[in-house]
Amino acid sequence: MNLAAEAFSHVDYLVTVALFLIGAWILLTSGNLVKKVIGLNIMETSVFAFIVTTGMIDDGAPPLLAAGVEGPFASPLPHALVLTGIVVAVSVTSLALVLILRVKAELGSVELDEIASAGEQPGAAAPPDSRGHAND
Amino acid sequence: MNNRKSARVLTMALMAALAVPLTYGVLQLPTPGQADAPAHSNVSAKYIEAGAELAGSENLVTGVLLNFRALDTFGEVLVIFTAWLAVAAVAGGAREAGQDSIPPSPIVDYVIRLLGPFIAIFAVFVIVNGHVLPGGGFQGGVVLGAMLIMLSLVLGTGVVEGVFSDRVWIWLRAAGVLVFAMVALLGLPAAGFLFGLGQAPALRQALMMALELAIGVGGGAVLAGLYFSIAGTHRS
Amino acid sequence: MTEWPHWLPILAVLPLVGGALTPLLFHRRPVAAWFWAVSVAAATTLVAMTLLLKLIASGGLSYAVGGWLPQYGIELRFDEIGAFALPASLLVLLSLSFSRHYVARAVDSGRISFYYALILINLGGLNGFLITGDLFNLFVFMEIFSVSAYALVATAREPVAALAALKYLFLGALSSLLVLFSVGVVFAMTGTLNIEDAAADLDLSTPMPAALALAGLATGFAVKAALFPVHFWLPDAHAAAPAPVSAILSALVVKAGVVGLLRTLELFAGGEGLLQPMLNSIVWLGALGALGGALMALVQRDIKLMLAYSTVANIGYILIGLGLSTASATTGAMIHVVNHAVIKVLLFLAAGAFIHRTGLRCIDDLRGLARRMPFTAFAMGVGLVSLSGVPPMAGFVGKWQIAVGALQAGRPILVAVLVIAGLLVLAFSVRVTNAMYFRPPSRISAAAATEAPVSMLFPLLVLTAGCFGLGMAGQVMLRFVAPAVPGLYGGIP
Repeated sequence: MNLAAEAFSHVDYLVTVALFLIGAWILLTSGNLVKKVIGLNIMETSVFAFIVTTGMIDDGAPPLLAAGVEGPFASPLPHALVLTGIVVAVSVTSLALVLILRVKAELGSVELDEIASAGEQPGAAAPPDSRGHAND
Repeated sequence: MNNRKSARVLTMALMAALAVPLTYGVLQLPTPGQADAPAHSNVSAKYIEAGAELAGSENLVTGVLLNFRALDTFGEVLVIFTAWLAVAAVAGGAREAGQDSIPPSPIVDYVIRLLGPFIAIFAVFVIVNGHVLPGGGFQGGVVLGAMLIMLSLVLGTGVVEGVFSDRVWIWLRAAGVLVFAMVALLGLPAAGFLFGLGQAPALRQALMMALELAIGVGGGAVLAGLYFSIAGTHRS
Repeated sequence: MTEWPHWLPILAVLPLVGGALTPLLFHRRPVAAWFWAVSVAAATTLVAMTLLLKLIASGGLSYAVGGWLPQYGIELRFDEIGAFALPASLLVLLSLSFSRHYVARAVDSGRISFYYALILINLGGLNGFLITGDLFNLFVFMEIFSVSAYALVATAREPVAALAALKYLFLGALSSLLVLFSVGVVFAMTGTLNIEDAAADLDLSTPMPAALALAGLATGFAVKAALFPVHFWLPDAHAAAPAPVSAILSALVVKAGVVGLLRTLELFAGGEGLLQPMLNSIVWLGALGALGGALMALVQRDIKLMLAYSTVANIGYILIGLGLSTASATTGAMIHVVNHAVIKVLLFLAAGAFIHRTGLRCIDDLRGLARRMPFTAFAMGVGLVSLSGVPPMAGFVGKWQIAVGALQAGRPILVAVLVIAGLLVLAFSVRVTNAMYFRPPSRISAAAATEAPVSMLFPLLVLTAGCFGLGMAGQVMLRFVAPAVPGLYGGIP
């Protein structure tokens, strides 16, 4: 029962861990490149939720010292970390999407199966270890 | 297909194997929400106690971002600018001219045109009030960028992108990084260290406002630029 | 000059701002952008040299950004590990110098200023990563060099470059998230983000949350360092990128993962119970990587893929050295980080020169090139000899030290691993050298090639001299990094 009580009090953390693993599963096993990006975003969100939760206080106030606000203040440090983290996540996601667009234009598909089978046909773009030539 | 199935089973086993130590480890952390956890009693307590006077901002998060941990924020501004650089360097496969998206319905069109100016004012409000209310440079910049993207949906990316020339857009996007670097250098006379804002209240306020505006404008322009690269017609 | 205290943050900020200015000032002016990039990299190298001189003269430096005490703000510090910034800046300078003619063919002309900007930003991120004393700042600089690295891979024109960059991006983002998660765990446990303070405050008596943070950080950095079995993003990415970018990635960005592992060890120093199993696994995975990488390199037909797999092998050596945790193995690993960086840049740039002149990447197609491009072939030959670990060249000292450390730790099997891997490397070196020098040309472009231009030859010759010089200076370097070792393992000799 102790474990159940622990689990109940730490439920925030358990949910973030679950989301992290779900996101990781989507990232690693999807065959569609866009779905992989979605999995990555789920993972990122879970980590941000985890970090913000570490700074929260039950019935506390946000870290804004306006007049008349009292009571335990949540820690401002995790908020700053997550703000930066969100910007980083946006950067990575946008780069991933543009790369997917380029893959689609050059290799014809965003499904890894189709890209692999297209690569095995003669005359199509092939990975570098089966050709010896570089484009100029 | 067999290969894919076995890969999935393997990954599922890996996730299950990972879930156990992750769960167990996370359960051993201090209970979330308790005010006596190390997360609250260590550095955070010092921020809450003295942070507002030292940093010059009642919004402690802004104080942490722009004053105490300014180097992190500089890195953040640089990452978003690098994202735009990266997108500009690798973009290919944007649609050719003549491939139009489905135009939005007249209701959406009207509402967006109506709300556009109000959203812009809200963005400026969020940026400028970053030191007393929740908000700040990047938050306002995101609202600004979202407004530009919305307008592009309705008016077309060519129209919105055409408001400024390419060169002006690039300078707007770099505004965050460049202004931050200049303020960082000003930290030398102001506080004796790079990235410091000093203790003189008027100068500190001015520098913080400059940073907020620069981050806001830069962030909004970068977000709009990312959208233009993905959705616009290819401009080299 | 060395006494001016503000050089330390400038080491990172200068290339970052210089990179950001490049597309503003030099858009569509490739030669001007090249000149600017080389100047910024040269200035950064000078700053790194100043800091190194200060380190040698008066010991480690630290800098409180913004003037705040380390508890409130971010602390930067320059120690023996941070001294890697000097070879890093120098190698980026040489790769940039090489790029002038190479990118004219390999990258679209409208994008060349972005290419230079991304390389400078990459350097800035690496330097920042090396000198920071704050966990979250470590993450931010890591993301700076990672995002620029993903983009640089995709600047190549080949169709597979975008896919290779995506694979790199997915694994890189996954590992960054593991690191960020662990930083969150450390924050929840100690309330501070400063590495020294967190190391002091961490309660290592109960294994569990600490082991979680350790595992997360170690796995994240292991993926970045391309440790077996999570190395599989590396071959495609490094082979598809333009040659100067492959050089920077294999020599520097991958080593940042190793430096991250070193910082993790600092953070958890003192927790022998926790560290021992991790160090043991690193040793065995490193051994597998060394053997596997060398074997895969031997069977490649494309020269850049071969060099990429050889990077995996060398990272294996370095991590064997780190995991052994004896003084000689660790110092050997740390100087092999620098030596391998120099050798790998030399090899990738030489391969790039061949590709630039002939358009050919297959080893069999490089036959007979020694006659037409003698300097480049000589540089490639020196690089391969160094890679094989032949004394007195650069690759020998680090590997020898690691082998000595393995014997001291009572693990002769590892010496056997090192020897076998070394023989495999020698085998493919002989194969390439044989093709270049002793076979007649089999392709027209190889038979008609001319020597590489001066802006490419100059870095090749500097690096060749470096291979000899570093080999001779081995003892000096070992003595230099020795003070950093005790702090890593908290008392394991």
